Amino acid sequence: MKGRSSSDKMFQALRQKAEQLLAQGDVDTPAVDGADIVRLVHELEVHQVELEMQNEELRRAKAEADTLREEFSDLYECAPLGYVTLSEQGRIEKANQVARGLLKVTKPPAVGSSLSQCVSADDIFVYHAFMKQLTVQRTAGPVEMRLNSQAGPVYVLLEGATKIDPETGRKDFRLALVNISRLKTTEQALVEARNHLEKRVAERTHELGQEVERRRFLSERLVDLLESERRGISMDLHEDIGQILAGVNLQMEILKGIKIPEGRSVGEAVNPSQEMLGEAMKRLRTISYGLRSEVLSRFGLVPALKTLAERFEKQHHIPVRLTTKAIPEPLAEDLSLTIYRIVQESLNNILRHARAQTVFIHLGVRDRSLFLTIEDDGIGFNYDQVLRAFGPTGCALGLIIMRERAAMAGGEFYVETSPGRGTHIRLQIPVKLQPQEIGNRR
Amino acid sequence: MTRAEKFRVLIADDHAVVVEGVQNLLSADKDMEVVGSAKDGVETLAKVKSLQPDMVILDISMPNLDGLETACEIRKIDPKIQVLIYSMTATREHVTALFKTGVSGYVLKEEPLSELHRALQTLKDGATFFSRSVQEVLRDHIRELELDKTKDAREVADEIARLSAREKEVFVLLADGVPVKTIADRLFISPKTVESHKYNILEKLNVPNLAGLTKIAIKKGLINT
Repeated sequence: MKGRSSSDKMFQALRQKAEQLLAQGDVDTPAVDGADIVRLVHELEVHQVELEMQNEELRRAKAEADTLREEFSDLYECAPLGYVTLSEQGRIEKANQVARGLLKVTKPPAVGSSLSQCVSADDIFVYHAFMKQLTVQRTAGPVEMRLNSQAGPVYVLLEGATKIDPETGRKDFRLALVNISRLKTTEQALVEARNHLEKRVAERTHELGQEVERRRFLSERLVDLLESERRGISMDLHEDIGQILAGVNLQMEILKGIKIPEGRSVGEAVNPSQEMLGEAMKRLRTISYGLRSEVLSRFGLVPALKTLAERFEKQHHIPVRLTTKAIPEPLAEDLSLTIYRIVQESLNNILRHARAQTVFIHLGVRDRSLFLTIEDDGIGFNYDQVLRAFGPTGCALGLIIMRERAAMAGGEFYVETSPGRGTHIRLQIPVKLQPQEIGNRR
Repeated sequence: MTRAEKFRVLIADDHAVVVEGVQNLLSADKDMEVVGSAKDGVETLAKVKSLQPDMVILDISMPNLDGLETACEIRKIDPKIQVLIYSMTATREHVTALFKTGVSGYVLKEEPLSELHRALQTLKDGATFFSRSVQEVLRDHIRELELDKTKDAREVADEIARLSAREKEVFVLLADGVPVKTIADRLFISPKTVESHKYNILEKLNVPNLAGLTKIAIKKGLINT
């Protein structure tokens, strides 16, 4: 060992010098008698043993210190943190394995490599502030900063202390670096996820708000519609039935005054009243048919649609070509009603707006869904505009109600139209067969 | 006065006014007797069994078993009992269904009472009576049936007449092998609409696939081979 051999040499040199001095006779040796010499020799011998023991002790202590030094040197080199020693000028003087990896420096560090070169330009002020604090206050950090790296920035946490040599007054900076890139990435991902989530929540809230608004609007319109339907029915009853009944009442008033000759019946006088009553009942049937289809509840969807189409043709002289294919009757009642009402509303719209020559209605089944198409060759319309307009005609409302009815039945409702190109209404509704119902009907 | 001499009538209607009116009408007739009345289908059947009438005057729209079902049940209890429908309803479905169950007469409430009177007399004599309006509905139905029969003969022509103008356009293009997407672009409609047209055409022309369409189109000379 290097340490031990140098101390041996030092002892040897001292001995040589002592022997030389004795031989020259320069040393003033007092006169001694025999007894004194014996005592002196004995003392010297004791002293020698003492020195040897001390020497041995020193050797062991040194060996121990060497072992410890080695151990700490390993710990320093292999620590999971980066350790760097900087000169007062910020030059890298020493760096352990992790620090060398982070700072991309060699072992030992190349002359002139400084820590500021390793710091990302974005954080150079942070670095200088850190170093200033370190100089003034002798400790600094922890501070977060980015180091240059080809594969994106590396985030480190930097902490340091200043060491001043008590004899020379020389300053060293000892820094510890922790790589927190992974932590940073996770943190960033978390922030992004949170931002994304917040954005989604905001979006959903907005959507819900719109939906609530739409529903509110719709329910208001539904109330309007209900009122206007009631007005319509009341008008029908008043105008059609009421007027006729008033007529009959008048007839009865006249009848009261009539004197019938003996043997004659009142028949002739009663006839007009009776005819009027018959007319009133006919009108009543038409009104009640519009409100509720007996055929639908008694015979099912296809016969009801046939009746609807026939009546439409007869009343308005617009041919309706109704075709159906493989309808698994009986369908669930609400499903039949949904389709029936949509056809009814479509025919109403066609009558009021379309100026169509012919109407084509087709109802088919495939892939467990009912497919309804209602097509006319009329003037068509601007769908978006009409839907936005919500005019007092209630025509857009009719469309919206059709769509809502379809949605309630779990179906989809499409309208394809443009001015001059007719209107194509398409409805697709999933159909569940109800086996228990099949047995109940003949 | 024996049972055989008088014609026994049961009136089934959920409206008391109607029951009363018919009763009044019959009271003038010495050959007839109203033996009872019922307010719904179930009560009617019970009274048919207990009173054994010769005829039931039956309304269609009634609670607990409507007229149609009640008429069927009466036929099962005793087919000799005559059923006269007296109702506000005269849709083709109701008329034809009741006609099939074998009712003897059908008069609408909106028609003059004389029609009901004539019906009662006719049924009493063992014949059937259907009022003018009801006959009209039956005639329409028969005409329709005849149309259906002749349909088979001119089938293809008729089937193509079932297609709308737009469907005819799509039909010719599909039969000519033009892809759906191209048809959509050419006709300025969405591919989904073309798909919908396609299925409707297949169903209306009763063919399983596009090859079938092509066959019909060639037969009709709509496309060149």
